[in-house]
Amino acid sequence: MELSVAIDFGSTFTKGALLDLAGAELVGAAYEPSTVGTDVRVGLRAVLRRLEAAAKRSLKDLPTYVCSSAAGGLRIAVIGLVPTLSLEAAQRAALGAGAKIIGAYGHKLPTSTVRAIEASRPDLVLLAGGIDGGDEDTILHNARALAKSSITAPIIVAGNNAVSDDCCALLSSAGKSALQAPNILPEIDRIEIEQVHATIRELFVRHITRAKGIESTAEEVRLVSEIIPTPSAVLRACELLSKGTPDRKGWGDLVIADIGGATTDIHSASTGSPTKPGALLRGLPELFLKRTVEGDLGMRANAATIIERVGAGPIVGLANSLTGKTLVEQDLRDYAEHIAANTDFVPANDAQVALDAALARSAIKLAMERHAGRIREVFTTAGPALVQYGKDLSNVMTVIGVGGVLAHGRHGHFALEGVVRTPSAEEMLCPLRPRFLIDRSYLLYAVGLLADVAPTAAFDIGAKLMVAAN
Amino acid sequence: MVNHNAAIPGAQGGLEMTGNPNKGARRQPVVVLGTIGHDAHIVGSSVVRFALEEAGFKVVFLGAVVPPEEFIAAAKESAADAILVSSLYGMARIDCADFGAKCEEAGLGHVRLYLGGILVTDPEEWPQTEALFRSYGFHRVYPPQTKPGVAIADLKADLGLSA
Repeated sequence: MELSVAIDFGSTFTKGALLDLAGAELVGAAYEPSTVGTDVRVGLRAVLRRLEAAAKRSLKDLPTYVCSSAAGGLRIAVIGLVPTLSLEAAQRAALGAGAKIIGAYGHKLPTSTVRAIEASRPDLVLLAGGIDGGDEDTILHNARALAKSSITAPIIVAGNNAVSDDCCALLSSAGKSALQAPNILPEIDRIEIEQVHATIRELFVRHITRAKGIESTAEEVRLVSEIIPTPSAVLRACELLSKGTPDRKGWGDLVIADIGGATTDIHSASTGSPTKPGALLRGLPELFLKRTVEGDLGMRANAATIIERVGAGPIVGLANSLTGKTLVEQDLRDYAEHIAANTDFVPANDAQVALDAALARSAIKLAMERHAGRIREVFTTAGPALVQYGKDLSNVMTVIGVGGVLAHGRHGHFALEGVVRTPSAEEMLCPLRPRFLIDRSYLLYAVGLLADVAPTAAFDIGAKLMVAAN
Repeated sequence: MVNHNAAIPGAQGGLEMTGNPNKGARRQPVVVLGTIGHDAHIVGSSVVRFALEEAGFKVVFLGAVVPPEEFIAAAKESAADAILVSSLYGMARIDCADFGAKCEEAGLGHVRLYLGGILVTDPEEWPQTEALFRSYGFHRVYPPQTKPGVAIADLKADLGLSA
């Protein structure tokens, strides 16, 4: 046996897993309510005790890997120039680094916006704007505005390289912590995020883990690598399962749909290149690993919003297709009101289970449509031309579902079918014929944490733990 | 994606902008170029692109089938000195109708706007055509068969660059 421990400090629970890398097996898993708000070590020790019971040995000397989304996760305010260009690129960079975007602002920031950023208390600010050799005025203006502000968070300057030094100098001389990174949008059609990701990772380890109170983890376990944001671990798992290892064939184009109480998140591993011959690819380039977070599509917090966007009739229709009962729109609205007020509510009867599944499917459909690209036919005098924006995910063969409604509910397959392209939305490049798996044990984070140190074992563990949806 | 826009300072004719309202320091002049609307023609604008790069301009090349909004977004992000719009399928009247106004609205009133390609089918209509597109906000409008060198010479003159 070659044992390792994986820990996730979630917002609600602290989770732990004990894994045998030699046999690619899960030895034990445990979760306890999070104590990050008071002393992280209390919840952590409770989890470790349970794992020790399963292992029948102490865990103190075992290599341990940790991720965290506790205390609000990695909260970043993003500033760019044109919303569809440098600001969008900066948002993609931040999301790809596992961050939670608490604000995104384009053009020259007025004072009121700077006040809003101050009030939101970000962990980090990502300042972009202008391609190399392009606009200088906007990022300089914004650097001056940030220099005059009361913001104390580190600021990563990742815009027009012609004025990077000047922006950093403006910020440093005002006592701000400013770090330079290469332009995230060096050319109008190129995104560069690697260095920004490395800088964000470093800042997360050096400052943010301390600020969130999880730095003391190192006293309790044998931490052998840096703590990363939980979404980064999930993205790493997505990449590993998609690409495989030298010894394991990957699963190809892959989507992870994570439906939670507060948000619905989609991750995709795919180049997203056109599947329709001759399609012209337009717009900002997409990243192979893409993550989108829909803050208005949480299963509990935003049930009413999901109903508003999709329509009560269609959602009730979906629920009725499961139960055979005749639920009406008022039943749905009553349920939505109840779960918004009781966000940890667990469905108690068939009707509620069906309504949950219908809401989940609707949220997943909307989130997938926002994540995936679009294709349009334009009629030119030379004949029709196809224009594609974003990622073509038609050939995604595997969709992994994460979230309580999928792991514990009875209609996981039904809910995940929301990702499939529908005839009424042919222009959305959503998957056509995927198989559906569910992360029933909530262990994707562990697969991601081990992906670099033991890729084949992590892949095998992932393959075992992602089970076919019912 | 291959980057065709690698700008090597001074390598191609050493063009530099001075006295431009958008810039303090010197830099290579920037031109946004593409084929507008539902027009998939790309060869013509590619020829113009290479000519511009040879002449020392940094070209932000948008390709074909480019909505007006993307010209404007690219011009803002790159602080373009000029936008060159190509149209070859005869529908420029529709695609360019409020182009100048949109640029003005986006804070690009100082940017030179050029339009060229095959804008009409009847050469006798040219004076009216030219007047029409100038009324849409284009500073220079070129008839079919215009050589890239003509537009480049005009551009250098308009931007105060040495020939």
